[in-house]
Amino acid sequence: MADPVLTLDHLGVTLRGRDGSVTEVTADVSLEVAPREFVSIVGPSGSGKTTLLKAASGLRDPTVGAVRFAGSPVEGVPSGISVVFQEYNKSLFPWLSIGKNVAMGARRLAPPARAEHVRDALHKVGLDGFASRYPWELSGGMQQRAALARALVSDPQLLMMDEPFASVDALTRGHLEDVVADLWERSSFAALMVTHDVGEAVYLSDRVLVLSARPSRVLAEITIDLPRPRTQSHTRQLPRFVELEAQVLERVEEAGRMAVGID
Amino acid sequence: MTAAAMGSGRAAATASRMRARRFGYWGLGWLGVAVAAAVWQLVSVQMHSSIFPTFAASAKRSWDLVDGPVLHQDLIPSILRTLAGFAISAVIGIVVGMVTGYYRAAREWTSAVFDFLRSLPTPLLIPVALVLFGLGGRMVVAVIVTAAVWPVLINTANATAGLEPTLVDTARVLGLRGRSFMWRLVLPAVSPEIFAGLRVAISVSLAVMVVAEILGGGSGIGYFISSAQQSFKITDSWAGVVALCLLGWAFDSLFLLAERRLLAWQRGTVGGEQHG
Amino acid sequence: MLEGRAPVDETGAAMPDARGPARVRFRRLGRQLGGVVVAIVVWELVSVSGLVTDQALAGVPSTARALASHLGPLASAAGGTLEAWAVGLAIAAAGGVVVGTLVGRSRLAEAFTEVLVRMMRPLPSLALIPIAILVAGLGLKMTAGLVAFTSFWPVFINTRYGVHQVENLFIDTARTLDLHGGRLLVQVILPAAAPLIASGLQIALSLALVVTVSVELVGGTGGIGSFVLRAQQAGAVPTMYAGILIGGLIGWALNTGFRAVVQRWVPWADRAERRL
Repeated sequence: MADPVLTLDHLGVTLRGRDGSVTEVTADVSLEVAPREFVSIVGPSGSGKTTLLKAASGLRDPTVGAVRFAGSPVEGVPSGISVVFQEYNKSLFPWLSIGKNVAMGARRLAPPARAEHVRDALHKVGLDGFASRYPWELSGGMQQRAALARALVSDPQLLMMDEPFASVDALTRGHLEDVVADLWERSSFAALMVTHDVGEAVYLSDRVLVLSARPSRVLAEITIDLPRPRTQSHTRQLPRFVELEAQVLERVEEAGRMAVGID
Repeated sequence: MTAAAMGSGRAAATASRMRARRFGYWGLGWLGVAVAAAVWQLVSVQMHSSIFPTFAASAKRSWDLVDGPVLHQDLIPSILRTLAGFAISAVIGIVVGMVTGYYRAAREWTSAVFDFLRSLPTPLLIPVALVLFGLGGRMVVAVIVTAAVWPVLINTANATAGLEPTLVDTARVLGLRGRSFMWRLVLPAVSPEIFAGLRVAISVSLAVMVVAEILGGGSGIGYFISSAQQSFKITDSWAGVVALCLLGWAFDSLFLLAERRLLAWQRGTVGGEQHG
Repeated sequence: MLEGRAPVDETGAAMPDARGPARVRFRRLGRQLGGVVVAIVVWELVSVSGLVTDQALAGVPSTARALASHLGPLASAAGGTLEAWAVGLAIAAAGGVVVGTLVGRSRLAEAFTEVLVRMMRPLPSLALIPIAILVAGLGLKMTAGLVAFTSFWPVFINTRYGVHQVENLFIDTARTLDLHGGRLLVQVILPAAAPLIASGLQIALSLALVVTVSVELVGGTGGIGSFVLRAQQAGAVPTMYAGILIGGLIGWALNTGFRAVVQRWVPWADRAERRL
């Protein structure tokens, strides 16, 4: 295996509530993401997936352990990492048009090249002609595609996604999954996605990691050996898909039972 | 289970640190007040002006006010007028606000007129109120109502008009109709906005009370401040302002306390960190 | 294709008064105008009925006549009021936004000013009128200074809160986009706080008008306030009502104008929570 893009080394995060309470969200998570690899993290709700992703992207300092991106320790968000959040309505800036939002991701480029990249990124997510619209004028799925365009316009080495499709309806969700799968296959970035949807994780990933309940650690690692390119109607019918999905689900349920046992 | 044990040990330590920090912030707030008072004191001593007394003198004088006959003559009437005006505004504002918020037609018929009336700078009505009610408490209360009713009314109406449709449907399914619908669904659902409006209304009440009293209260803290100025007892004027300042702060604090008690349910729906 | 879908409002509960089809808008306009007509008719009926003494209430025709015959003096009174209002508000707005931003970005500064703000916010600054008259004399400088002092607080409080309260996800997003320091402030924090700053300014502009008019009433410094007071003292009730009407129109025009400006320049404000 080539040198990993991202390495989490015995990562642990402890959160402090405003009332002074302390929660150990993540106990000890180690994982690696190889170049061009698509890795998903699934786990029962409350297993600290979002917190883990924030620590991995450099948005939050881990309490213990280390994060390395492209070989060097992460301090702040490295320029090779892009992040897409679940709540597109709080992540796209409502005071900027879609085009300007996307341009925010391409500030490194000179203006002429920037305009071209923005147009290109919007085209890739199917938002041609929406550059001058404002986020709130678009449907949820379109907003999330704009967020995706903004994340990809900088040509990142690693795309992180936090429940990227959780706030849209089922039809849009399938469509967005295919947009992501397609972009991933045509580009060279690695992806790390956090989700609670097992089917989605299996459908998109090369590898699925199952987290235990809080304080979380990696409970299982399942390699997804489904052929690519994958399509909603075909891939999801494959016996192997159903088998893998059941396998992951079983481990997630196990994690949920353990949580109940601990409490 | 060592990890959990470690976690809880750390938890206790951090909790006490948090408490210390919060106490620190609280202390810092009062330090800010102390610094402001010190600046006042220093500047006034430097200026040595008869119209700008020292903080110490003003503070001492305002204590005398609370301790002397002024309390009964002026301070208490002002408090009662403010509370009366506020209470009347609250009742009118909530009832009219819920009705105009809920019925679109009512809202549309009243909106232009209400828009004009609430933009009218209320002190302009004091001359009218003086003719109608003469000098004194009734005039002051009437003027307070013309100003303080608007923040309550507008907030209530907007919140009622923006009620979550699901909530309304649920209530219908549960068989809430007419008045019980208004009292048991609408009122609690919009209470956070009502409280926000009431909080504005209380400070509006205080402010308007003062002008009304200056112009024709016959008694009251506003009357006290302005008559002290006219007889060149400047320290008394300043003392009155300091007393009002404390009064405003006390009202606001009591208000927040009441809100925290009554709206405890709301805390669950706002704030808090989200985990994946 | 999903592209063809009409824009959807996921954040739900848009104000029910949002623009609808032409027919609905036409009906609303009709009702609003109808409301104004009804209000004028009620005013005239009350005046004719003699329920309220004609010392306190002028009828509609006589008020209209007074309005027409005093256009010159009314215009110059309005000009005087607007001048003091504008100077004071400009100072307050600039100061409030700058200081609010500085304080809002620092937890220490925020804690330091917390109690002070909670005391100053409900402080009826109108109580300072008698003192301000002594300190600065009658005139534009005094009025504008008091207006600035009073209207500073809502702008400052809202800016401080808005800057402090910026959605965490906006900040996180900005950090993933490598925005720091001045860029973060100008491109993310201030635009995100803009809706709250705008509502602070909206409060400030009404407050500034109230203070201006109050100073004019108490100090007799000219402007609409003095116009109304002089008319009342002369027993010219219709003229007094003409003055009140103009005062209301000024307030209404300023409020409506500002709201239009906000809608044009801060179109995302509708989605932000409103405070204060």
